[in-house]
Amino acid sequence: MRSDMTLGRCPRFIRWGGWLGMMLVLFLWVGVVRAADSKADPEARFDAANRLYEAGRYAEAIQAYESMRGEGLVSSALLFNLGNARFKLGQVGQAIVAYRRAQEWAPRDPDLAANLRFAREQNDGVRVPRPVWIPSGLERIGLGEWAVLSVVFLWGWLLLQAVGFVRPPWRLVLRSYSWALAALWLMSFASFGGVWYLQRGLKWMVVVRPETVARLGPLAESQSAFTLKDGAEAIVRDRKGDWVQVVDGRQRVGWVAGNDLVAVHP
Amino acid sequence: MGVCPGIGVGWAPLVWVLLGLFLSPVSMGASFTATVDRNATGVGEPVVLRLAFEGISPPGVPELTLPDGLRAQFNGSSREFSFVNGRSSTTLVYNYSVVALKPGDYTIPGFAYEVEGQRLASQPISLRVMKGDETGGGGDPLRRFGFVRMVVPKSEVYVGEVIPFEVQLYVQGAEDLQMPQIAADGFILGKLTKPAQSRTQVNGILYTVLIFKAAATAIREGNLNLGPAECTLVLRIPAGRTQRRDPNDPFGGDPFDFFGERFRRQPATLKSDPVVLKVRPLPAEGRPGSFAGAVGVFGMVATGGPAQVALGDPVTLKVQISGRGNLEAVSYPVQPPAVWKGFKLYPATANLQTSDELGVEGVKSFEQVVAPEEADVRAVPPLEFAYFDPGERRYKVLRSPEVALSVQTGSRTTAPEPSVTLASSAGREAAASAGRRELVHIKPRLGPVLAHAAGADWVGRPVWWLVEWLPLGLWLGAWGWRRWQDSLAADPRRVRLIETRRRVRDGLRALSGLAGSGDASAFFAAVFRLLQDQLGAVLDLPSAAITEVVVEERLRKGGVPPSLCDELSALFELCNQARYAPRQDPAELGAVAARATRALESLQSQEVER
Repeated sequence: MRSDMTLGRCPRFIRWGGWLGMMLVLFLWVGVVRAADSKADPEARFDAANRLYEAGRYAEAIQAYESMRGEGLVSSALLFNLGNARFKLGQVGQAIVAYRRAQEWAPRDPDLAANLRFAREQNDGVRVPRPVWIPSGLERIGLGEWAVLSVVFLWGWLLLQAVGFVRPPWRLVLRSYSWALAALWLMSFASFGGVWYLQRGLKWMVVVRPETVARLGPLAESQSAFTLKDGAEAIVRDRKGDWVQVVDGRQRVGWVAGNDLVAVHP
Repeated sequence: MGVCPGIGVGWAPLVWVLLGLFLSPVSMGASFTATVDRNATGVGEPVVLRLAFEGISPPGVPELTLPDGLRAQFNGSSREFSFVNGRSSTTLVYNYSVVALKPGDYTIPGFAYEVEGQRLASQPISLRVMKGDETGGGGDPLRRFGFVRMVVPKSEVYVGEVIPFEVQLYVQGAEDLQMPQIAADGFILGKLTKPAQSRTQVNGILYTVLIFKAAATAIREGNLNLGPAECTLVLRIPAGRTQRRDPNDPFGGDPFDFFGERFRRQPATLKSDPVVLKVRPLPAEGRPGSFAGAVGVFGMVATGGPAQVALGDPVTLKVQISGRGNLEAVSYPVQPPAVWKGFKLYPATANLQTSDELGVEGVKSFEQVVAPEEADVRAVPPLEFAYFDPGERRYKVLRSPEVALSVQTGSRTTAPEPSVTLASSAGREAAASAGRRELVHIKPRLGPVLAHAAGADWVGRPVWWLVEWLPLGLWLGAWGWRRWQDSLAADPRRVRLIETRRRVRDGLRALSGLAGSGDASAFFAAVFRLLQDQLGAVLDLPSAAITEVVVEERLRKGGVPPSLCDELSALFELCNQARYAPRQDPAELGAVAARATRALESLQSQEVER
């Protein structure tokens, strides 16, 4: 009897387990298929978004680009086109944000530089001056590129050190190369730091409202100091609640409602 | 079912359709044209009149009705087949020789025929007939073998008016012909066309006629000479065999020269008479404000869109000005700035397409982008284009209709530059001079996907910092280890102290085990050895030389606290006693182990003056 009960229970358990396993496999399959479908053929989705742009349906094109971006399909071309679509809709500030984000991945793209300059010219064109200690043109090489360069130089230097450790007679020969690699690493790492400071250390924000008022204090009742137009770029100095203290291209300092700004690096 | 149902059923209709397309004459609309080989001739010189019926055949030879002074003679007919772009057509051509009996300007009227129930009609043809001595060349002896004639249809023109003209070269035979050179001071000359060729009889001599066509535009008023036209060539002058043979030499010449040269070559430059044109200025009276120099006959079509825009959105205006005249001088209809109030204007682009070989007829297309900047804008204002019609000798004004606009107010406050494609270099220069640029168009390829949006900022992640700093950490570690090893190699006493500290630590751990086992002799031997090791290391003496005497002689004098010295002496004494009277009590051994541990740890931190 006991044996029968055991025999009777085992098939039921196996049967339920089989059903559960099948359900699990089905869910996994559906999930994989949906995930694959959502990310299937990014180029086709990109083309579809571009078609919307070409048809003048800029708002829908923006949605399509943003949808891809939200799913991680980020490329400099996508950000570039997103910037164009926003610009066509008159969202100059949002376009500048997109262009600047794209420029970090494609720092030497002339089209990108042209459109960013073009978008900036829609505003008063006064940009926040860069720190004098950072050489101009440093950001022609992107942050990631500087990072990779510094890592390569450092590992190369370490490799030479290791070789010298294993083969002491080679040390004399390797010394000059070792110094050169060390110097290159220092330079690349310093450049990385400079670009990092420019792009991330300075908290850049862009005005995305047609016009926003900068006030002397972080209150709606505070006296207005000056106005900023759509596309004006500023650096964050302080925050309090929903208010952001910024300094603009004319070195004016004021508090702006956070909703009127978009961070280049959220 | 057939053996090959695919062919029998599926392909046969297609084959028949294709055969039908290729073999059957396509019913194109019938057409009829009347042309002459040239529009100017001399008295008695025949002109070939050509009546062409395309796609239709008249039942007989068409009869001609010509104005007084012109005679026509039927020369025969021919049939021409053409197959262009998959369409075949048949043209029946009737040729006539038309001869003028007296000089003058004739107009051959349009011919109209009723063929197969269709009424076909041609356009009138103008023909200028000059006197025999107007054929140019004057008293040149070579005139019999060739001459040049300039034919200009008008003698009075206006400044800016385009005048088509012909240069007719008559030769009996010629080679090495150069393109005619035309003197045209006060005119802008267009390019000469490739010559059309025909044959005609002048004063009983058969000539080959080469007709070059060109257009000239007068640029200043006054009596101006168009021409002369000069043609450089080598004339082939007939030279009979009898003329070349010496009559006194019956055997002279080459008896086998049956195919000898029957011509002699004479390099020559044939020159026409110039044609005097009276060039009138454009009248000042009645000149519209929008007149910008266009002379000719034109029409205008203008469109605009989109009709519904947001404030600042671009509206593209497309204007086509077509007609006959100096199309190069046709410019975009410009309105006074006041008309465009509420609009932002961008430079217009232009594209010229001519439809004739002289470039006199065609369409000039303009495209201009305007952007409404005010919400109350309701329409794109009409465009106004003025031109002077030299035929009617008056100015005419063309106006496009208004393009209704529905402007919706949006969030835009500044109007971005629209994407404008500049078709001509002139347009680009204009845009550049205005300081405007284009928005670079979107990119067609996605390119490499960089990273997940949230993780795109990989540079700031810990992994990157680890990769960046790991080599440096490894190097610093290796460097420190190396320095440590070097320092140890230079300090044997320090090495001994470290080694002793390790041995004492291990010894004390073993001491607890010996205390628990109750092996008193081994326990006290271990305590004695540990004391020797530690004292030897502290005093830098051989361990074997350490006895309780050392405590009194070296430690007390070396500044070690007396309590520690007393404890060490007591431990030595216990060890000595145990050799002779061993104790078995584990508790007592544990207490000794604890005392030894404290004494040795205290001793490790002592500095002994040596």
